[in-house]
Amino acid sequence: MNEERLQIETLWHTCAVRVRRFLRRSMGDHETADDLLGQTFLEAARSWHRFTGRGNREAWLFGIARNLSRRAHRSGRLRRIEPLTHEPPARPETTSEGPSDELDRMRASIARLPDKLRETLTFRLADGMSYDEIAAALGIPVGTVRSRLHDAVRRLREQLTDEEQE
Amino acid sequence: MERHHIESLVADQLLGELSAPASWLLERYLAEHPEYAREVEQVRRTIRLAKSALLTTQPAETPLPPMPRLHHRGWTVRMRNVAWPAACAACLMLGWLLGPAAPTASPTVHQAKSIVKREGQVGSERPSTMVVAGAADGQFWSVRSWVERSSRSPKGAAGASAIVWKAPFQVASN
Repeated sequence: MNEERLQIETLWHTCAVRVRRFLRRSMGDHETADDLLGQTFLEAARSWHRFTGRGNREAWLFGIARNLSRRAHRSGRLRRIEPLTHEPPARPETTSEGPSDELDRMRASIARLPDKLRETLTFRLADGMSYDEIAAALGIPVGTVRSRLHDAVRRLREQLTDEEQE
Repeated sequence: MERHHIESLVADQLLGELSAPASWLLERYLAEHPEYAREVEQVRRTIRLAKSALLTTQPAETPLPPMPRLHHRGWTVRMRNVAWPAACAACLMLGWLLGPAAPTASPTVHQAKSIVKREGQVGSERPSTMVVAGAADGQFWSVRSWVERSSRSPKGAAGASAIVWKAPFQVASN
């Protein structure tokens, strides 16, 4: 039991920040995100022995957080916020990757992606999860993760190219 | 190789999901086919921009809330495993203690489990006191009415009839 508690605490120290970042993006409300973070770890502790071994514990934890956030959205208690369009960027000025309007256009393009594609892309680019980890977190095959990412990149590239031609 | 395959491979490479040998082969292929250079550059730029856009949209970090108090799962499971058998045992004990004190029903239904059979008569193997509808005293399937019927018969009247209590099974012997 002590070993299990120790593992959960280690998990808290290693990936609570990332899980909270994901929950904040998903919920839009920081307070609710923090509540859900606590719930995520409680749920993880409760179902610790149900971990099937697919992916790793972090991906499994992300899966729990994602299910909780979806349940919260479904329950209707929370309003759905699109953080990519409504939340002000942390660094609105120019970055090393390009001028601000280019990034704004990209943000808008990402916000226009279907939920599934945006979620997968965000897991990969913002959270740095591997294909296997995303597959474990979302409960889908790795091939589906790959095809979603390819689809997302293709759509974004097309939108970027179209905007530049206009 | 088709154009969309190239795009997919370049995307996998940039996302770090292409093995080293595959990545080397792709680089060689692209070097030999400069006609894909424009698409490849667009994919690279798209992924760079998307990553940058997503990372700059991250909400500002604040200190983490304290870790929630975890329930002692082992204890609760152990309690749950013990609680049900303990509750069942308590119910049984209560029934055993209070059972004799409970008012009993009138003995209209007999609970004998043997088969009553007239000696020498084959076929009437109905258990005399099965719990059946109409088994109250004085009705057709009751022991009393059966005994009365038997005693009224000519053979019973002669005193030759007897009630044989036969076990429902027999032990085979060599």
